[in-house]
Amino acid sequence: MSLDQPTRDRIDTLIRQNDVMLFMKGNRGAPQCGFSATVVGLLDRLIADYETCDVLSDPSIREGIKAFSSWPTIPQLYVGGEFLGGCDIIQDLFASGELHEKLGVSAPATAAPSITVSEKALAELRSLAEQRPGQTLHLTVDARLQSGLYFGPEEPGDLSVALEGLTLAVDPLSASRADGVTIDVVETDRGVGFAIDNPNAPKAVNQLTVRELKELIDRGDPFVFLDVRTPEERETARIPGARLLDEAVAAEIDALPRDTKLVFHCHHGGRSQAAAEHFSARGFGNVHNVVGGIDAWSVEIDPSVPRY
Amino acid sequence: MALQILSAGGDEVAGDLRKAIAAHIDGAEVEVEARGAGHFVVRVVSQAFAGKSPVQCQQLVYAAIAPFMSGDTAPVHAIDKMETLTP
Repeated sequence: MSLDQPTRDRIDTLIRQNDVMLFMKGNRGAPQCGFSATVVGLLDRLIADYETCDVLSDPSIREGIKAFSSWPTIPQLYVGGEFLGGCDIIQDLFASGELHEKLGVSAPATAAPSITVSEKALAELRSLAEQRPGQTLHLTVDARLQSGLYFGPEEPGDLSVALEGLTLAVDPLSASRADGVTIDVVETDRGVGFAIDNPNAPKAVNQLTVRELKELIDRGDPFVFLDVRTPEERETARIPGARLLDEAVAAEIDALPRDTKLVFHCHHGGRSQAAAEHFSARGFGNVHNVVGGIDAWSVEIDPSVPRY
Repeated sequence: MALQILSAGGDEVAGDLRKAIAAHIDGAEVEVEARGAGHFVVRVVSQAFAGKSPVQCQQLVYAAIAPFMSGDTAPVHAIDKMETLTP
């Protein structure tokens, strides 16, 4: 096990810049070993965003991380710069709830969440349940706060929500994210579907026209204005007041109160929408995307800003 | 020595691991079970683990057996489970 200085520096940078950093075989979507897959599975249940490094595609990291951590196996999980362990320790930490705490996730719920189901939805669900004897209706809410309903066998540890003539099972992790959920039916061209509304889910990104942006700036309203383009594009054209969103600025924003108004722009509005959604998922509730980006700004507001 | 390790079967490797751990950690009681295909389960009881975190305990054991785990032809592919206990 050898560790040269450049490799040490690279590992050091990875664990400093990423709050949750997993060294694994393969990647999050396609783990190449059972131990790595197990840790990915646990992290996926707890948090939406984390960084992975595929050691199979990087031999110097693969050997280097073993010396770096005094740990000869992969995967290895770092949180906040601290080495938490490999697969079996992570499983133990998950089981004890310590991993939740390390990741800043609320512990799994021990009480059933409060769920409201409309009468129409209840009637639909009851009739679906009658066609599936012996199966239980489950509600899941994942780390991205996406909800789902399915019928399946009851799982140990499930919390039960008693509805009129129907029981809804919610696993403890989902339950901690499901309080206040309402379930209704929506009728679409393709038939009846269920609409699950979760008040805990991130608010949608607001769309801001360049005229509205101009008014905001003119009024002197406080907001954080971010440019998600490349430094090269900024050389070509820029809107005054917008800061380049680099890693340092991203970390700075992440430390701000969640009700801070954030406005993102890029060239045409695509990249900034993705950035806005990222911060929305991190809990920011007042997030705006500039429709049409700097190009619309050049056309509608300030022709002195070059188009490219 | 290296050749001997490479040609050894699971039980022989288990014996080598047991010796290496016992030599590295004073007064350790060591059990190693071969699970096949280079997979092992390790259980170590030692006073040396007192007051240490799970990571630190396992680092102590891994330091003893690291030579068996490095390189593409390592006789030990994975430790499926490692228990570190105090007496």
